Amino acid sequence: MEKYSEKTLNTIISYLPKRIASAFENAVFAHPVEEIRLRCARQPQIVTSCGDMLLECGAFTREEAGELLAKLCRRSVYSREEELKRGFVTIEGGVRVGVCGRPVMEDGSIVRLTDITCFNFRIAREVIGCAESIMPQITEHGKPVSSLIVSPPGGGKTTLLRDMIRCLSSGIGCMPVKVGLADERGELAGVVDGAPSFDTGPRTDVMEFAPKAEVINMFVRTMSPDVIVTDEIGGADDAEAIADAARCGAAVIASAHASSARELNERSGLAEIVSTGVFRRILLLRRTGSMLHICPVKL
Amino acid sequence: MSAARLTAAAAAFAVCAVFGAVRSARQNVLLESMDDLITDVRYAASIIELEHLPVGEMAKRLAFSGKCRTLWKETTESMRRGSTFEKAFESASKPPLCPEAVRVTEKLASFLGSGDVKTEVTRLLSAAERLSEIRAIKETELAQKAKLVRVLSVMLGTAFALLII
Repeated sequence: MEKYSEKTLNTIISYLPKRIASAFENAVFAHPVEEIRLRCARQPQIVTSCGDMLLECGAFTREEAGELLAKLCRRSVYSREEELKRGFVTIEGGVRVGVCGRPVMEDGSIVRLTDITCFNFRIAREVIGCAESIMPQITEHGKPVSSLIVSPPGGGKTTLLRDMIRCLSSGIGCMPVKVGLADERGELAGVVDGAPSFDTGPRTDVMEFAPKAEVINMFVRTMSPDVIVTDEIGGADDAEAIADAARCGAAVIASAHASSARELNERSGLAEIVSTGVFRRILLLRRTGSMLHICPVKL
Repeated sequence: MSAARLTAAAAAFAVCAVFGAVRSARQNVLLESMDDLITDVRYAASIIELEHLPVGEMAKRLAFSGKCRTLWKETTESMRRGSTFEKAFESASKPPLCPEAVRVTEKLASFLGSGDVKTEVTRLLSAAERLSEIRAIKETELAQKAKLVRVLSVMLGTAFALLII
């Protein structure tokens, strides 16, 4: 059951410049909208699960970009500085808005993102039940084992992981377990006013907007989770924290970007994590239209 | 010279002297308001530096534990109704301030929220410093004015007393 949240879409529409919002509302889409992309001096692009189209409402202007950024940051750019540095802002309902601009570098790292002119609203989806058939692959004797979900960007990792959390926490396809959710981008649970926007089950503790390696350590020290779930791992810090959590007896379920086993082994950071042997199951996710295909990977 | 005249002269003198003293004391209200505002601007800088709270949340915090609570309460209420921070701050009733101080704070409000943490903190602390400078100038001016008011009221009181006598 796909919960293509009307509320989420309305939230996004409330952020869009009025003329683009009305053009979007008047347009007819045969397939669910997945992304709304705005680029300065270009027509807005709407990406659906089966292709894309350009909205006939004229180009997105710089003034509109400035106003949109102010809205996204609740008129306080400094309050979203850390997120902007990483190239996104998360708004209500776990909607991640990717941004592009001109990075300001200091000592080889990005300290600020200025002149933001491109925005990508990724519509968070909740597909209740999409992970139920996979649960036997990530559990042993009813208990979750450390698993890595791998797919290329836009492959449905986050949607699958979200439903896995619900299943683990509710005891669907396994014994109910305490889940620690290290939600660095705030899009897995989409917490608004303290409550998750998505169904993350009754036994899930959420920590948002903090580096996952640190959050994993905090969970292990203070929340005694049975399983820790996190999205898009890949850094050297992540490898250490995940290995440490596994040594402490917590299973780790994570996702990563790669489109094949070969790519997984070639990506530095990710290859290190995999080589530690922490992950007992690795599942490769492929998507055709709105269908998800999952196959186990042998390394 | 009757006792009644003497009493009336003394009363006239006392009234003028007290009037002068009250007027000069009242001028301290402006300095106190400026002190409160400077404290709040510095507090806002620390809220932004340490907690990165958006301007709306910052105003709420100041309305709860700042010094110029009425100003921040009104700002918060306007923002709840949909105003931007700049407009909300502009329309909120300010404590008694000199026009220069009002200009500094309104200019600050018009920029607040557009920069990164470092910029905002620098901006707020510079504004606090500028307000402190304005306050120091005002303090000197007001001290001179207060002295003048006191002297004039005593002289006026003496003149009235002499007329009555």
